[in-house]
Amino acid sequence: MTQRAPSRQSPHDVGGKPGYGAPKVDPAAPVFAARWEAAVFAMMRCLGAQGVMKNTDQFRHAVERVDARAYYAHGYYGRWLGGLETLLLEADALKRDALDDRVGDFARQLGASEAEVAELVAEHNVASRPRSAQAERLSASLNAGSSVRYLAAPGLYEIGQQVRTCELAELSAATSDIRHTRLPEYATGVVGEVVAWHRGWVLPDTNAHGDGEQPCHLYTVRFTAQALYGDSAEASVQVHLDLFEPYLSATV
Amino acid sequence: MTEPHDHDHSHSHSHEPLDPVALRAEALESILIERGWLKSAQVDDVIARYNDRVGPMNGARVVARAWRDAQFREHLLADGTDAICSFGFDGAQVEKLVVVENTDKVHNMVVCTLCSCYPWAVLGLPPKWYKEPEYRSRAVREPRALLGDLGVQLNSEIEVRVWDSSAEVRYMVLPQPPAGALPEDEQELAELVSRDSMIGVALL
Repeated sequence: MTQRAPSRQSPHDVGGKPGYGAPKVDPAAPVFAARWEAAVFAMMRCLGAQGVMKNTDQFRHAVERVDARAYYAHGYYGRWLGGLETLLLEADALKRDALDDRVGDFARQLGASEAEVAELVAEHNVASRPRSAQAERLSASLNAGSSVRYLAAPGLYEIGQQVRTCELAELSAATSDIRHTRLPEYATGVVGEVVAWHRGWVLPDTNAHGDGEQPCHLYTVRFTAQALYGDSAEASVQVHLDLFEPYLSATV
Repeated sequence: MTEPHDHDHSHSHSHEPLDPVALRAEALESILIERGWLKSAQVDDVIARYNDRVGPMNGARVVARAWRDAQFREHLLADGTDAICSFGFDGAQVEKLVVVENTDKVHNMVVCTLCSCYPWAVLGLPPKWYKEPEYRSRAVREPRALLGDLGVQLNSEIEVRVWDSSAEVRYMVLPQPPAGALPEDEQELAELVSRDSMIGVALL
């Protein structure tokens, strides 16, 4: 097992992190617990149509940057809302004051006192970490809706081959910003076996930041739980991840 | 939920507790409606779509057919995206669907540790627990213990295969059919298939 560097400040990258108990399952839970959750879903679609949200990778990165406490406390659609608000603010398509004023109006109509209004608008949900400097280069994808891309060049790795995943620091080299990636921390610096090849796809690491689609080959890599967690692993467990070629290197 | 109570007494909080996230969502919705970016009917459409048309009933039909039709099952496991085309699911796009099969020797389960990626086309929107850190952290660290907490006890000889949806490929589990005689009718068969069995956190 590899000794890991201290975790980056990313509340979303929770895979393998200790300290969590049993999931709270409610078999009777509706698809949307309240209408506002569906409204957030519809707003996500609408910001895509308006070009405020350029692509899913940019949206995911915005959600990942919401206030670390709000990320879980506000729930799934709550953090989506924080992500949407972040995108609107960063695109200069919304003024924070305008939204706060509207929240205040609604709250007063429901009987809130001025003290309660002040508390409500102080509730922070938007990005607490800055986007990377390149984000203004984002332009709506010509291929909006699909992230599959044809690649003429063959992939570097073959099914059955052993590969090693890189460290997160290698992906964000030359910048102090926390960048979007789809390599979870628990699967960094480990050796696994390529079990499937999915051809070419847009690379989220660049696409989220306006650094272009940089399509690359995508593989499913199988890791034994022992490789990931050493002696504390459960027996006979294999974990599979879909990993982009730049996350991988050949083992010697 | 708050208990109904007598409002005659003087009370500084004379209203229901305000949910800051709900209020903020409603405030933003009203601004986007005023701009003409959003219509209220689009919210109703989302609710109708994911309650009535795009949900685990779609995946259940796929599973039922795979149980009845060996040739379809083979097609589904080899190329899930292509195999589900014939169902014509309502507007539900999936760029690549991979279906993994539970057997006497292998149990599969699906997670997305980084966000909450889920095969919307066949299962609809994910349940709340799928999106919470308990499931997302433990599914890749101690899946057997997690399954135990969810009521699934697996023999130690059964290999557990976890699929962390870290890119745009989406995964669905083809569960084993329940023991005993199965209905002939595909629709009746589909009714036996639970959502959780297709995520891999329940047996049938």
